[in-house]
Amino acid sequence: MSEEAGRRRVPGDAPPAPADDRPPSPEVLLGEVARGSSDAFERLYPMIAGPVYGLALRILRDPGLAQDASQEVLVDVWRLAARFDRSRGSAMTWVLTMAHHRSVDRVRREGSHTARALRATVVAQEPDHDVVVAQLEREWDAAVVRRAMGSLTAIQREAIELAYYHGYTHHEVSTALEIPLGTAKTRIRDGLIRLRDAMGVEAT
Amino acid sequence: MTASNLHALTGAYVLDALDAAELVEFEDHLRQCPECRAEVASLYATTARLASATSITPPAALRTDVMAQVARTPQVLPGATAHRAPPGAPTTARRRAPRRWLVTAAAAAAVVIVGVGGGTAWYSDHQATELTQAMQSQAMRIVAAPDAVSHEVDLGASHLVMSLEMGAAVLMGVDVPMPDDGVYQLWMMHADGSAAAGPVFVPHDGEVMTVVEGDLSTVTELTVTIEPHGGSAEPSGSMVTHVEL
Repeated sequence: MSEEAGRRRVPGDAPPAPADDRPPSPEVLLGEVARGSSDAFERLYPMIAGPVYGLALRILRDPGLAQDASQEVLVDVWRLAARFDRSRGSAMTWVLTMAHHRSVDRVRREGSHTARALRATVVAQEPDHDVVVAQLEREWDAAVVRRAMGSLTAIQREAIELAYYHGYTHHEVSTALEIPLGTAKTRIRDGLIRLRDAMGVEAT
Repeated sequence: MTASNLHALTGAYVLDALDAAELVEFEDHLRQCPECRAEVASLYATTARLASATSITPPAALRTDVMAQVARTPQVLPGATAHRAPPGAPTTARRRAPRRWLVTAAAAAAVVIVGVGGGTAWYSDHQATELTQAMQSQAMRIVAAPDAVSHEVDLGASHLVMSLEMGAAVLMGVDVPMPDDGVYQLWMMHADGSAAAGPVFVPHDGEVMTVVEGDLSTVTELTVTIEPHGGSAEPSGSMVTHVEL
């Protein structure tokens, strides 16, 4: 657009810095979205829609419900962009925290999250036809998560899976795993800390 | 609950696994505990990695629907702060943080009637979306009016902004509890004790926005009552709050 044209270099200019060739980060785009740029939102969308939908589908296990929940979250990204606080984490973390919150909210309202989990079926992972790189990143991410999950004790892993992917409260986790509530709390926390360290996650 | 027990809730908090009472208690604790805030931030970053690994190409219709909805959805302004209700729990007046208000959710009011003493048309959710947008742009104009005056309203965290020049006022708020039964209705009270019926409204996710139009120069007080569904011609229900002008 005109913004691009304005930036066009004339002969004799210094070569562009490599950073200019990189797509803007989700944080930069989200900042522009907060200032009302729908163009920035369209560029942000492909970065966040896959994880948002994937998480919603994983939790809700129904493509229609997942699509509804994803739509709500993605519109909220637009609506609430000004609330994003970089000091509290990355843009992706902010978006996916909302996606988890919304999906769990939905699954609890459906009132059948425990039943759903018990007859959990594996959701087919459709191949990403569009972007091979995204596919590779996803496989890499999945492998990292699998390996990190493998470092947990069975109780830690089950507690986190029931809470994160199935929307169990920690009370429900303690009932399902037949462990005291206090144990459920600490297993969830210890397990997440171990996951964090295994994946080398930094907060921001 | 002791502080050390509260520290142990970081994990369950991040997984949205606390119940409502614990959530309130933990969020209070979080405001005072930098260690827990740091741990929560790092655990959110961890769960975001779990989420990223679930990524899957969404249906193309999702993009179409999202873009269409975004095109007609106003944004909140900077300064608004987010507080959250526990998933699955009813939205209540638990959240008390002050929020700067100009623009609110697209679906601020599921059911609204605009106009002083006007016709009593009910609008469905669907129609309300468009109506709400018209109302929001009107609210923006009221707030931006040179003579706009703002009053705090004791209804959740609400404000009434009025402009005599425009002959209009907007009531907007968050954290507004659902009326136990019926709907809220706004009334314009005059010095002689007569009441002009204003719009009825109900909170949507705790948020309300409603606009009244008319000559407000003779209005001495605005009151909010709870009325039966459909509203009343004269105040009949219990008074919720009032604002002297």
